[in-house]
Amino acid sequence: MSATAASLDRLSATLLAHMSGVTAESLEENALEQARSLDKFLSGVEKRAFQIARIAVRDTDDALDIVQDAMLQLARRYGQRPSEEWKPLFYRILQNRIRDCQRRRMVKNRIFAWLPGMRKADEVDETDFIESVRDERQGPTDKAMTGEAMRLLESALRELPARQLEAFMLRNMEGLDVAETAHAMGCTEGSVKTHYSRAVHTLRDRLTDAWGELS
Amino acid sequence: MSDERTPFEDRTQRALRDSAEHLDGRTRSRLTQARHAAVAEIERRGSQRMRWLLPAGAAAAAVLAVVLLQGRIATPTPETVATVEDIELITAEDSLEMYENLEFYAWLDQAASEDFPAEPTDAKRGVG
Repeated sequence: MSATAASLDRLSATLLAHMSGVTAESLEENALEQARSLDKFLSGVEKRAFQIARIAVRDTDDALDIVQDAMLQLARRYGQRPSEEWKPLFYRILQNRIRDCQRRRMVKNRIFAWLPGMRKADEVDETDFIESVRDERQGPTDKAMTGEAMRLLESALRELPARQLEAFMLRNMEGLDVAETAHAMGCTEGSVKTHYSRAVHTLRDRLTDAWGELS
Repeated sequence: MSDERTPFEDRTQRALRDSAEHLDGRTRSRLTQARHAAVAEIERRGSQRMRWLLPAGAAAAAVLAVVLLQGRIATPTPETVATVEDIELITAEDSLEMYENLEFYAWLDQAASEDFPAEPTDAKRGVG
């Protein structure tokens, strides 16, 4: 074998070793980086996501299940996507799970409605959430006022139609822009604007006076 | 709808975010568990992917090496490639006449080199 052939063999062997080495290291580092990014993203949204689910389904345990399911689905299906895409995807999954939960509850209610003594599925064991809110920085009066304001807000939110509630929570609480909200809700940007605008008007009508008395 | 936020919207946002930031311990703990499960899932999937991709990468590198080696063996050397000059020589008309008198030219060559010429037969010479 000539000198050129021997050099080519050495080059092939080096290439093989180099490709295997680089792939192992880069893949491992990439997987760790994705895991760290996901942890950071989820820790940033989990509490608000829980609040969105809890207000929509009116049950703490169901809301926790919904958030957990949304987190797992995001990791499984979209974990390899760039982290910038996670937010609208996560909220889309969350909204779908909320709707699934509401549908299941509706079916249960229809089935058990005629049975005497059966507890309706929507008569939920909701922890008095406002009472569980703790803020050591606030004095007792401030805390009571915040609690009462939040109780009124939640009550008004629960009177909203489902789509208006979705739009309001995603736009107002989570701070998604119109395009992200449209993606999360699976509708057009125009619909988002309409739902959000109507929700704001309804809430303002119901809360301005009540909140005014608190302050 | 204007993108500018009204004081009412700011107030509702503050109230909602405050309530989210002050969840009770049990809820916070369950959210943390859920997050850890999701992160473990992505790590598990990452290692699964590595188990598939590493052999695939090694196989691809091996295939590349084989292709390189084959390419080297199959590459034509300059001596075997017919150039334009070679084609001209092959297709020239006078060259056929030369092949008819090949033995004569062989004798001529030998005679010139050995310096004692042997008379060729007329039949062998084949020229007028």
